[in-house]
Amino acid sequence: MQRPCLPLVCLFALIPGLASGQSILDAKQPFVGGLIQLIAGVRGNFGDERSPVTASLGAMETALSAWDASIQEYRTAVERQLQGAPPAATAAGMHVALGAVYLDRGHIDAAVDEFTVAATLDPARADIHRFRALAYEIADKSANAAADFRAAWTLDSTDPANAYLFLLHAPTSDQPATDQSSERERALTFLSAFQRRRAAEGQAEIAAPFLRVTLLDEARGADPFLPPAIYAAAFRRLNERRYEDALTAFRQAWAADPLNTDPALASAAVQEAIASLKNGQVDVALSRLDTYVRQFGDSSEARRLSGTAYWLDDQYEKSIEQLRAAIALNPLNERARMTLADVYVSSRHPSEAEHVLREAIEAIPSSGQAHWGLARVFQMLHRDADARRELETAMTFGPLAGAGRVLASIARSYLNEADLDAAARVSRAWVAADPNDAAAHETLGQVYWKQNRESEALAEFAVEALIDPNAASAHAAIGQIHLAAGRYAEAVEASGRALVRNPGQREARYALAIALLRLGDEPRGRQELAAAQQLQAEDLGRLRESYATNLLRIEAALREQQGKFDDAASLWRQVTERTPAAASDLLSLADALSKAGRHAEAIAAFREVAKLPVQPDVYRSIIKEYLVLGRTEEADAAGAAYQQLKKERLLKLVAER
Amino acid sequence: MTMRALELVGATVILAALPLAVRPSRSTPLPPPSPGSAALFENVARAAGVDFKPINGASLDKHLVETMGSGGLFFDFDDDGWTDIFLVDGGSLAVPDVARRSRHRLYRNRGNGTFDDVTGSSGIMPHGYGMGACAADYDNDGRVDLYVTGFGENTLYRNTGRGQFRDVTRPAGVQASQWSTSCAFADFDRDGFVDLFVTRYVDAAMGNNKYCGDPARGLRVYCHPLNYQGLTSILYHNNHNGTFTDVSVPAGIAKYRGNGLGVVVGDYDDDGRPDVFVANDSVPNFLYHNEGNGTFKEVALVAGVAVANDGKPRAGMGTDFGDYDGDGRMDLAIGNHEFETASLFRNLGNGLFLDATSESRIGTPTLPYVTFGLAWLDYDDDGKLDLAMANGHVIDNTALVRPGSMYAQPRLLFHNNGDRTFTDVSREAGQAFAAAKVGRTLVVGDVDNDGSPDILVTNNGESVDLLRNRNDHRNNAVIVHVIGRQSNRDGIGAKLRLTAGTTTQVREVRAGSSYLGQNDTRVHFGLGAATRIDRLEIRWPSGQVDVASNISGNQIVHMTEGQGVTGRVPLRVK
Repeated sequence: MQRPCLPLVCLFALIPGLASGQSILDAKQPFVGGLIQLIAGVRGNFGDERSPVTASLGAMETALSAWDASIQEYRTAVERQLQGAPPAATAAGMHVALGAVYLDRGHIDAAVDEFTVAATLDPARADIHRFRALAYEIADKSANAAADFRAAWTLDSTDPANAYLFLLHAPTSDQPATDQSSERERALTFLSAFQRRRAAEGQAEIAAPFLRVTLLDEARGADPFLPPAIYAAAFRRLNERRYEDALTAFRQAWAADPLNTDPALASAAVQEAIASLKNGQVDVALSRLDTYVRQFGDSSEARRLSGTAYWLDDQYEKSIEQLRAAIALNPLNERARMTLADVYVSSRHPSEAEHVLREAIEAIPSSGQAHWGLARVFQMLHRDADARRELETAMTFGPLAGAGRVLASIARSYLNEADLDAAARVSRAWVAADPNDAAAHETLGQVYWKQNRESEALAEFAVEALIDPNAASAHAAIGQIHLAAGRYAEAVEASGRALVRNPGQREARYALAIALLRLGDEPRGRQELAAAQQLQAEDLGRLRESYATNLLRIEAALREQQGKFDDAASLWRQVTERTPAAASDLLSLADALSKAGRHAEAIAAFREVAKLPVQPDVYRSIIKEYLVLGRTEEADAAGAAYQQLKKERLLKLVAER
Repeated sequence: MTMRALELVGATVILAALPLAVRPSRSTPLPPPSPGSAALFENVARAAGVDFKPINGASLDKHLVETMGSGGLFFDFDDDGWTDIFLVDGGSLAVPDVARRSRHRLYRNRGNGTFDDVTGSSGIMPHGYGMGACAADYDNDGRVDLYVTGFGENTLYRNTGRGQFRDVTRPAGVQASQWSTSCAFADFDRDGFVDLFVTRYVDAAMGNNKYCGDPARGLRVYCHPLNYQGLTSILYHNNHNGTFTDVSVPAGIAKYRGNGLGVVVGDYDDDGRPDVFVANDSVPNFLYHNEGNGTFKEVALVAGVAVANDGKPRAGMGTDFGDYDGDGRMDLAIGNHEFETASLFRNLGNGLFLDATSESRIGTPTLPYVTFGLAWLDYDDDGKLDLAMANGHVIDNTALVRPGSMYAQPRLLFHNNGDRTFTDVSREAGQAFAAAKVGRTLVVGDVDNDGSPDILVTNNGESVDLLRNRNDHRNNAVIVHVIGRQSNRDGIGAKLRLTAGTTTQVREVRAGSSYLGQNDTRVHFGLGAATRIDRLEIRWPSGQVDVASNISGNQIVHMTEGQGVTGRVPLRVK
């Protein structure tokens, strides 16, 4: 679910004396609200999105007009105030606020002009330069941005964000190298000291120290939003902050969208079937949809919805049949192609999903969703390089939100291949996309560290610790860098902070021990070393255990290949004793027992699986085993439980979407 | 004319039989070659007649040993002043016929850039699957003997002279068992006879082979060592009568199970007693401090060399001691697995080391590689120890496990910048380093006596490479050959301190390092622009200290315990 990003102007609260202040604060939200509704609608999961999409487009148009009107009103009010010749500092504040309003709205040149006037009026104010730097960044004027970030740091050297942004952008600055180097050192020293002071004082995190000018929040952990291909141009314009053009493009795309144009979806009967489906009455929905599929024989969308319903009922073969028919009727039905890939993934046929997504890309080259889906399939198949290629392609479609997640995957993939330059480049992009994400700073810090760029790594870890003071790993990494550099007192301090947050932090425990020994504190050093050794031994023990468990899995699989199902079951039993919460191992045990003809034991194993958070289709196996044993009543009861679980899953899905 | 003859003459001798010119001195220092200049090394193995492809017995059964070998070393078995080569052959656990074809190789250096395969007349016959080797004159008869480790039993070959060896394993009592890897001779109790240290790996015996991989894909791979139990190392004490006693238990060595792959002996704390470092694969390394009373204390964790800076063990393989920062203390280099980086531990004194991998700048370039063989060498004779590495993955089908991963990998050469940092000059080293091979042993020796160290690299399942140093002798050098009298005959454990101008270099004589191998025991010093050695001090294992002064550079100097300089041979130029 997308969330709106707060308007930039919120940072200023209200400019005193401006009656229009509240309206400008409220102006952006309706537009973003409409956009969020639109995003949910164009996914087209259930085929009943015609009304919400139409409504959201209208809402966005209205909101945009209102937003522009409030900006105009605000500008007039500011100009009026300025005519009263307020003190320079007050006037500067008004120009900054107006600049922020323009920046939020995407009027970058106007924003820069306002910030420039403000900087002239109040040359000592650092935040003006940060705002203008943001505007320059959006306008791809990196040298200008770097100069302003530097100016902000020079004017206010007490703000960690200023220090970090200067460090991040310093390489592109045109300052002489030696000045640059000493200034970098000063910024780094300040940043480290600031972070240490805060950590020592136990202060809370600085939740979002870096400003962002976007419509939507990054929604960390969520899938990136890549629009259907038909909307790609419209969303591109939205990304470019050309909101009027974007709305025009949305209208054009909607006019051609099967969600809007397919006659079947306009049918009240089909809508009733959809309603049944969303109410959890899958049987009813399927029955009705079967009828309408026959009735609307040439409707690709009817077939798609039927295929979706069969998928939600775990009837994969029928689902695939319907979805293939939908694609045959309309090869550009992107939603049908994506759903078909999902069905193959659900039914554990990722190679088929790959094939479907490749076909989708061939048929609809501008499908960012297909590239994203293909990347996920490749990740599932452990084809890391292929996945990365698809992720990089998906990024070219400019996800409106969730870019951080994509960039994180790409960066980690490069890191896994020891391509440090690429990993650094992508991690920097991740930081730029979501500068308030501690994980982004951690990854960039790790890359820098591997590249022997210790001071830059320290800056990243310091920022990570500021954003998330409980991140023991950040403090541990700082400790290790100090240890490697022979700064033992600093290593002791940082490692100690890590251990306060996580006493089991092995890296920190070791760094602390070694640093203490180097400082000559033999008793404490040896005590910590013993603790570190204990942690190492435990870790090694776990590792050996996992290797041993995996060998058992392999042996069991080999026995199955040889048709020795009793032996396999015995081995799987040993595995499950080691990993009682691993559904896949329990499933393998149950399968082996079933193949060995030990159906009662198989049922018991399947029932153990069912206690875990797994897909309901495990009940299909339970039913089958009961039927083999002729225990029809129990099979019926299991069938009822299965139906109930499917319904609950469906209702949850509907609620989420 | 043998070295023994030289010693007896005790005078400067020029070997008249050699057709090569004498190396002239340079008096002005020159910087290392710039990128784009001629390659630093050239693979001359085939032209030199060292044309040997060890058998690895690679099979579908994926016995781990198949991918781990095999080794080789430099030694002067006929004592003619020219470094010879011994290469270990592997074998086959899966196919007896293939196993029977296994045959180690002994190559005699003709002194003209080529070698003779003299295996047939040497009496060296393989027993089982060979792994590594080390060599030293264990009976002090003036002839270097040979110990070969293996998967199963090891073999001690006594050098009986005239190029012949006799298998004396059983009477000597050094057969060991299970899977031995690297070995090293050293006189741990300084009684004048070298003892023997043998590392062992894991219990992956024939009957204990495991299936690793993905049966569903039909993908079988070599197993990670943590699928097996680690083994203890073995310490054999030399009884002075041609026999050895396994003292691993009383010495305190047998207490520790590791996955030992590499071993190097050195006096890291400068107390005059040789200590032992064992590089373990995926478990913490061992540093056995010689307590001087026949026992050892394992101190790796306290010393800071058990694990890397992050507190995690690495997949340690080849290893070598060397004083790369010129402070007189033995630093430690270790080859590790890909994504781990090689490790460089700088000796801080007081028995402590600092993980200087990052500081030294060798971390990033080694990150993508699995480093097996590794050696310190001063390839450009500038007086600072550089570092060479042989790389190659363990898993032959690694690309199926992780796309982009390579079984065969290029080698690495690092130039010592003199400020505790290194520069990766592998590119300048030429095709001999760039060629992707499944590198295992990497050892150093001066095969053409030109004062510039050459390199021998073994490759799993591929031909051996002999990398001739194409150094154009812009800097000066000296090679010191030590001969013990009270101390063991090879002077193993002797510490050499050479001063030329304002620079002092410290080296130790050792017999066993890297992975499954051993460098030339003669000690090479690059002198840079210096043409003379002001002072050369040797602290012998016996405690005797000899000092020689005002020695010309660009020669091979023979130093005999208690007698000083007893021979001089000018270095050669090509």
